Amino acid sequence: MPRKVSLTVIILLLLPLCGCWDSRDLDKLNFPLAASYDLHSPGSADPSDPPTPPGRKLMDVTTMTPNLAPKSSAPVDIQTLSGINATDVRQKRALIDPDTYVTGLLKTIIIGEEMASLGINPYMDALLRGTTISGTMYFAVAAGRGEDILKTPIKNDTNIGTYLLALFDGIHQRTFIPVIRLGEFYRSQDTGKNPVAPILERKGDRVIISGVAVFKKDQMVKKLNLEEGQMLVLLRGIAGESYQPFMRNEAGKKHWGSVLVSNSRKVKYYQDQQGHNFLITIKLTGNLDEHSHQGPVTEKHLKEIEKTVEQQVKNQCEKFIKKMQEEIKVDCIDISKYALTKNRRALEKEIDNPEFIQYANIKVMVKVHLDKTGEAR
Amino acid sequence: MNSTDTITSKQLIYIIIGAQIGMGVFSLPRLAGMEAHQNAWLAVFLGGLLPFLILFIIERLGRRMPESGFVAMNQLLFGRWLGSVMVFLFVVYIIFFEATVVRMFTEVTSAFLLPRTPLPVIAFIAMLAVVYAINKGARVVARLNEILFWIILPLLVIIMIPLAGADYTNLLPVGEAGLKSIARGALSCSTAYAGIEVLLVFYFLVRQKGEIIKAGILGLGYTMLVYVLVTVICQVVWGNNFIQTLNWPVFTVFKTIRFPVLERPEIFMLAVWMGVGIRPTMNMGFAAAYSLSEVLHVKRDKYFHLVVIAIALPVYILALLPPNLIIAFKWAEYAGYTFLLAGLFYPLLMLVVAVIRGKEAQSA
Repeated sequence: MPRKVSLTVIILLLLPLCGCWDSRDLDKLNFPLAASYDLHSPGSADPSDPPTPPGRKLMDVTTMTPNLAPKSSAPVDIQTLSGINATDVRQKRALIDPDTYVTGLLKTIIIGEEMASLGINPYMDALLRGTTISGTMYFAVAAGRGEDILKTPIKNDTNIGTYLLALFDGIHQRTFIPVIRLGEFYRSQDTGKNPVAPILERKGDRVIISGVAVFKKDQMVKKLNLEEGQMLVLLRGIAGESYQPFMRNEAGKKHWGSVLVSNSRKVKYYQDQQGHNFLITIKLTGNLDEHSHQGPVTEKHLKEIEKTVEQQVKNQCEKFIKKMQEEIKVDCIDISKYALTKNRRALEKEIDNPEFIQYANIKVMVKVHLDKTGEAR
Repeated sequence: MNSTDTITSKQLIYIIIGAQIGMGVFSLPRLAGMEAHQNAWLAVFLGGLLPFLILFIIERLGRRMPESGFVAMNQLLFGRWLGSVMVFLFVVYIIFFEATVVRMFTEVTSAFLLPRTPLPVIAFIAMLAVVYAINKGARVVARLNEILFWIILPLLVIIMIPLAGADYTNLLPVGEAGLKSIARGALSCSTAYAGIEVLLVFYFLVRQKGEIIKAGILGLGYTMLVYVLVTVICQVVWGNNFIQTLNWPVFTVFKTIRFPVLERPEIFMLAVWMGVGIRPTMNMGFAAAYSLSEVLHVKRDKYFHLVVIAIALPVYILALLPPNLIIAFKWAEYAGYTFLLAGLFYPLLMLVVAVIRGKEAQSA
């Protein structure tokens, strides 16, 4: 290749390095850490309070952005704007905010209770379609409005965005609660599956996880309390680690204690004349961490504690399954997929009908294995 | 043959891999799952058998006249004029195929990396890099393929991370989609292996002809492994129904990966993205430019760059013709079908003619 042509090609290749259409000044960008989607409430924080178009409920999008301006008095910038969808809100943001909105660092999305109950996919499309949106952002439902969660003046962390991130990060190693990311929320809407998500609630100046939301595809159908949420985690097979308290009667005396266990689940499925049968085996392995019984723990004693925990968890699980079949009527424990593995083509059309899970024969078996007793015997 | 246009059999492995694994892999799980549903991986595996057949056909063909060249072989088999027309048609096929690759590359770059940069600018920069590499000859193209192979390899490890939380029930039951659906899926998937036909040109540039079949099997085996792996990962992470709603399911898998320190590991993928995107264009572009320069008797040292530009220009223009992504996907589909013509029927026809006319190496 002649030298002149080579040189021309190299110069042309270097051209885009001196600046391109996509270069933007960092200080002109707005990086929200957390956002919430709510159904619009008239007179909300949006100063424009737009009129509602017929046939569509408006949404309120609240964003929380750390304030990077050097002499700013407020550590965070929280804005609520209304629109027919998320991108409509983004274009309205341009009217009140000089910075460019960048969604790449969004870490948590909170859906207001009312919107979750209505079905959220029509409002979430921008999150799926947006190429800069991360599938790893946490997904949660608010008890009430998500806007209120983001506007909580949090005191024990830098801001609500970092607090929520710290709360959710590694929570599976601290307690049995289902935490879900955006990507999982989408894939849990596949045939035979349904998502679950933690519920965030504002208590004064604090935000806590107060329960679990059960979805039928994209629509929240039930709110569970924390105890039910724990059983849901065990039955659903979300791997984690948590303390499990127990109570034993021994020689007429009540003894209290707790085990620190990690969980796993196996599901066996078969179909016979009785219908669809599921056998769920929950395995809990871990240590005895606390026991009010003061004597040394013998092997026999340990086995008895295992049996006690097994029975206790089994009873709670069976109670939850009864509720799921009679009241919720949605497979929130993620077992229908095992039926699909045997006969996908035939079951695909009926598996999401409430009758499928309602009339399924579901049995639970719990196996507990404790291999350590800590420092004390 | 110019001294810069000979390659080793090892380099041929990288060239085959580079010519095949390009833009198609990013939408392959969707294409495979469309017909074969949860058995998409099976369709990808079966579809991968076709390029092995093509490899054996080309190897048989090349063995008959090893000291010839692609253009000389065509002229020998079909006559001077018809042979030249066949080479021209092959070049036209490559131009069309390359155009779809460049367009897809441009679309993805625009969607994920440079949303505000106009498509013509992205395509232009990509084509400049391709033109520069092709001008340097087969050896440089081969070395670039080798370097890019090792740079891109870590992506294969990164994409396996979501397997830890994946749902393997999405793959079951195996074979339930039915023979007909899987076969249809396999046929669609076989087009994703386009690129092997560059062997028609590169065969004659390899020094150790005896090792071509081994190199071909290794190259194709690797491509098949990557395709099956990527399809399985997408299926277990997303499930077939959700995959059907995504343009590039493989990219969407990258968006679900998270490291404790590095929040957005897809940046790794985007960093080596250029390499993935332009490899097939570079390899096929070289095959086209080399063939055209031979058929036109262009002096390799003086005017080869003009031939390369003559190839690059229509590629660039064609790449910008589809008015939107949906039509660009349609073009890619048509390009896949033309692969069956240029990649399977063309070498097969040449082999049949060679057998009938009994042309041997000596006569070449």
